[in-house]
Amino acid sequence: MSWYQIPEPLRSVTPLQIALGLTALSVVMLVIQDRRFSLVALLMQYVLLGSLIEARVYSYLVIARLGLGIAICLMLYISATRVQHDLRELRATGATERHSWPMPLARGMLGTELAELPPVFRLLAMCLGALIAYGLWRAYPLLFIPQEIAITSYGLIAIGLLLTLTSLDPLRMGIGLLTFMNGFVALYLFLEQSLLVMTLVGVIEIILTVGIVVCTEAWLESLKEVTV
Amino acid sequence: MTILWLAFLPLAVMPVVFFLRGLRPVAGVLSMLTLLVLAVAMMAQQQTTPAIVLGRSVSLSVYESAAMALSLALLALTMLYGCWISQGELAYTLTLGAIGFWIAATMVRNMTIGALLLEAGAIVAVMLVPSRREGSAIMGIRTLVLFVLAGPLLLLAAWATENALGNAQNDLYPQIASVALAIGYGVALGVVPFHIWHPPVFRYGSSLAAVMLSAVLSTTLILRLVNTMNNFMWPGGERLFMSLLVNAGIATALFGSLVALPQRSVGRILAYTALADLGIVLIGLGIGTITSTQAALLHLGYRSVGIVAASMGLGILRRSLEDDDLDRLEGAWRSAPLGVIGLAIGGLSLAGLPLTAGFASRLPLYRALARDNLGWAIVLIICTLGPAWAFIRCLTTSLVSVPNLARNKESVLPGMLAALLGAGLLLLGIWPNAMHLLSQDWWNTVLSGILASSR
Repeated sequence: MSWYQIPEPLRSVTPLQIALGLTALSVVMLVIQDRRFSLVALLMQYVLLGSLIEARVYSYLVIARLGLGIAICLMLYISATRVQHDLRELRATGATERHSWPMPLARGMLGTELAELPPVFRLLAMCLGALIAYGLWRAYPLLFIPQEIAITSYGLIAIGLLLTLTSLDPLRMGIGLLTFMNGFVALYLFLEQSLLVMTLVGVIEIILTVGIVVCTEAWLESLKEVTV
Repeated sequence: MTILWLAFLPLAVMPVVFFLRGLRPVAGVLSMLTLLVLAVAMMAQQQTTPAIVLGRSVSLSVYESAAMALSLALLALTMLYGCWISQGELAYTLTLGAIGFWIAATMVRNMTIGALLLEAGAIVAVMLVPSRREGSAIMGIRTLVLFVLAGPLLLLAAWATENALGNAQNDLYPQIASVALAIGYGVALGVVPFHIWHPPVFRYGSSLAAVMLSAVLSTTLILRLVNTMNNFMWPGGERLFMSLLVNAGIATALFGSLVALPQRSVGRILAYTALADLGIVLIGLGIGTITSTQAALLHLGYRSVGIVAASMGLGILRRSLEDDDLDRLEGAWRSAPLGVIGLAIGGLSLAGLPLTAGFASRLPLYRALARDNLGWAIVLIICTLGPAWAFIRCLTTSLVSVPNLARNKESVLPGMLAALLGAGLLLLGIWPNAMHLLSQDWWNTVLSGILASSR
């Protein structure tokens, strides 16, 4: 095995197992309270997607995407740690808001408490994502792409959008966006394998991560400004 | 000499400006000089023979150079303005980064690479929106979401268009390309009903953010759209997109004009007026005659100047009044007269009021539309009254005298910049032939370039 190949244990996993694993990770990302754990799920997503497409695309591309995933998750992890810490501190000091609207602190707190929403709601949200993905896959089967990859990509795109739409803070919305991008890139790799194009896609993902971090930091600062 | 340096120069200066960010005037002047050098280089640019870089064709037509030069010159002025009125710690760095990507996107002829560079620049520019101001971070990430969604659509459109050109028998590719191209450009340009990022950028973002996303990005996107329509259209695609442009333009112009009227925030009035004005540009491009295309591209330039003047004025007023609510404008004439002048003239030019530059370039577009559809032309002319009335209301409110009102006095130099741009818009409105003061040879070359892009 060369250094640029996916490790043997991961290569022996079947596409169905990978698709199931990605679904489980999506549930974790949609439901889990702590943003840092959501990032672990995001990292696992990069690994599983890499092993899913490994046999069909240029091996260097898979390794490059894995490296990209690690870099992205590390950058977001620093922000996630700060968010968790600062929000906990704000809550512990019993901070109240100066303004009654638009209540950014209340929204921020709600962001940490999304996991406390009723399990029925979470289940429904997941089912909705799965239904959208399945419906899209049936309507536009994309015959030139292996079917397990098409359904997985549709699933990631749907879950990513759902996560973005149901989140109330920049970091969670950003994790949703990156999941959406992962789903799209898995599809796009079969349409376009130019190294220049894939490098630029990677650059965009890095810039997007910086954008998410900038928005998250600004959000935290504005939360502190509106609280007394 | 390769033209690639035009894209690399801002990216090379970016790290220097980043390290100098603590010294705002130094970073501002360095960024301004970089943009001015680029603008002059673009103006001097003649039609280049395409260079091949990594297997892709790279070139810059004269009218693309002219449009980018105007954008760069306006950005340079905004940088200078930022030396007095802070636009955020990373503003200069991010602006140079985004401009580097957008210049490269304008030069590259390959649709896929162009879309990726546009997307990268747009994401960098969106980072100008979030600040410590309440609500700006959430608005920033929402805008980011929309631009990220537009990117894959443009990539899909590029892939489907290339396949549509190669497989004339297969109907699927043109269908995918049409939908992806229309929605992708619709979202990125902020055309109705995908305009939702537009008002928050003006309401929560700095003047620089508004100029970058509403003026410079729109110009870059329209240049790419014209390039796509000239070089990458499958049979029947051109007619479909012409009709789409006219319809989307009418919807955007009507919606923007009507919604601008009841707004109570000056930022939102400006946002909807700029949106309505974008609709007018799209109508001109969609009609597709020589006169309408020339007028649309000229109007795009005047629109950019109007946005810069009005955004500068708005920034000055926000600093002086600490808010941009209409009620807070009372007495603004006393504390920030130059800001009020910049905002009012810039806004009225965007609204297309007679005696402003916006009207001079709108008139041939109204005429061209009236030849196709008299009813819509009349409706659009009547709708002009909405944004115009909203800005006149701002002006009259600011003239109300409020005794003993404690407010920050405006800084004279940024105010002068806004007022000078406003004066320029008035001059071009009263004497439209002033454009002919520019070198006749250069002007003829630009017009012939635009001519080649029209039908």
